[in-house]
Amino acid sequence: MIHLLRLFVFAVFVCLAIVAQIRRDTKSASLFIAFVLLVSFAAGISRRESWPFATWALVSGRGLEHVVNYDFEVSDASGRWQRLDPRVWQPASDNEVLDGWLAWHLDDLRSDPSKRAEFFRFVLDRAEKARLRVRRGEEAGVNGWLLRWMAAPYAFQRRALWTSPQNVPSASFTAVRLIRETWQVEARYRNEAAIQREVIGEYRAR
Amino acid sequence: MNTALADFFFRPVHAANLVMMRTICALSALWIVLSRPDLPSLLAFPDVMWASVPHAHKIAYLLLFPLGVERALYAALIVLLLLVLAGVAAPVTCLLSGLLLYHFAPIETLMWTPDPMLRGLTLPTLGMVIVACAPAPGWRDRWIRDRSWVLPLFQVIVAEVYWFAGIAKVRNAGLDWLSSSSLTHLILSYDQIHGIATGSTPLGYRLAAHPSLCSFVGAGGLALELAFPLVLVSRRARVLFVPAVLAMHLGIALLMNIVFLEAGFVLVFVDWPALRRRVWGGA
Repeated sequence: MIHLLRLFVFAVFVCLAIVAQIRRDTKSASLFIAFVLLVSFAAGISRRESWPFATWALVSGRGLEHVVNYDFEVSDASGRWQRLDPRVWQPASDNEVLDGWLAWHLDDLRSDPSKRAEFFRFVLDRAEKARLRVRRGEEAGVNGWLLRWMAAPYAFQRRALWTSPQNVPSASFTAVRLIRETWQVEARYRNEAAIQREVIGEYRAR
Repeated sequence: MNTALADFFFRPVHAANLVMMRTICALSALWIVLSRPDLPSLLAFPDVMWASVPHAHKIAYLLLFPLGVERALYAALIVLLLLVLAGVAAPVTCLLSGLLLYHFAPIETLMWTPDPMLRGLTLPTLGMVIVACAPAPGWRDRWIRDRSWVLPLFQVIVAEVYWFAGIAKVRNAGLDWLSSSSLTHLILSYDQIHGIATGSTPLGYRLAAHPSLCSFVGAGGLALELAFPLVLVSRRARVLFVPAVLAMHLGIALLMNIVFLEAGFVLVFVDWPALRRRVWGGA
């Protein structure tokens, strides 16, 4: 219901803008200005988003001391595992998929083998398509085909991994596994290897 | 509306500044849209990923059409933004662009969150609807009095970005934000998650080695955000804070690999005719 209310807020915003554009009088303008100020301030102060009226709470919490990170690894028939390039998810960002959707829905995947298989097949398929692109000398992701290096990055994004054809195998990927990594930020700062890794799901193509 | 507010919102503005506001909104939106040329294809991600999205979220953003229609609408959005840039039928093209941006922006995040803040299309969406209220001045027009309030209203929205960001830090982290450990942990954790901590020592790791410098940077950033609304009323603040904020975004990108895609919107505070006079001279 709250989301339909947001649609209503946006609809009022647009309607008042149209009225202000057509009538061109101070009263309509004042009404529109008052509405925009009221809603934008309410969103910011209450910290309740009514997008596009945002809270703008940009990276504002205390720094993390302990990190939990999810990612995927893929392998070809030789069994050599390698980290999935984050651009495989494009036009989704790795942040939305890994830190967002996956972290929130991991229990669903673990409890339902059919969902898990569907999702892992999807990941393997995207990884394979990206591998073929990289082997052809193209980018692993699809975002840059128009603007190339001028394409906008994502606000939050992991480092690109498959930057040359040598970074991916010549044979098809046949398996994918989901890993969870945990670490203490300070400990990893002192020792890059201070990471605990756990494989929490694996899928092999038949 | 009281006199001070009326003076602020209903003062004449230079046509060039209004045209630049429209251009910044359209260019920024176009940059994001052309950088995600296949955005509608996210709707074809597997059912397992979309199943958890409440239908109300899709209704709220009118994401109710088949993929083919969405792709056609996305192409229409690109054409509309190009028309806005060219100044063709600006009020109508601006409004339609704003509506389509509202429709498409949440696709990127909807599987996780219905709020696509920080993904680059929030200010363009607001800006397109607001600038649709304005007359359509050309580059040769000078002062505008009719519906000139469009520019100061949008400037308030942009100022809110930084002010609310500062307020959020005070509310979420309080005085801890000023401690060296808070910013150090933020920098280190983002470096580590984003994978820029591997290989050569990243800039963030080097900064983290100097706790007092971290504390200073954190306090400076917070002070800048909280004081940013001064740009609405002070020319001196605009000269000082606009470059400072751009430098802050550059620093955050280098230190944490976090890119604020709407950073360019601070350019709506630039007085373009005055800048032109300063650089090239003339009246």
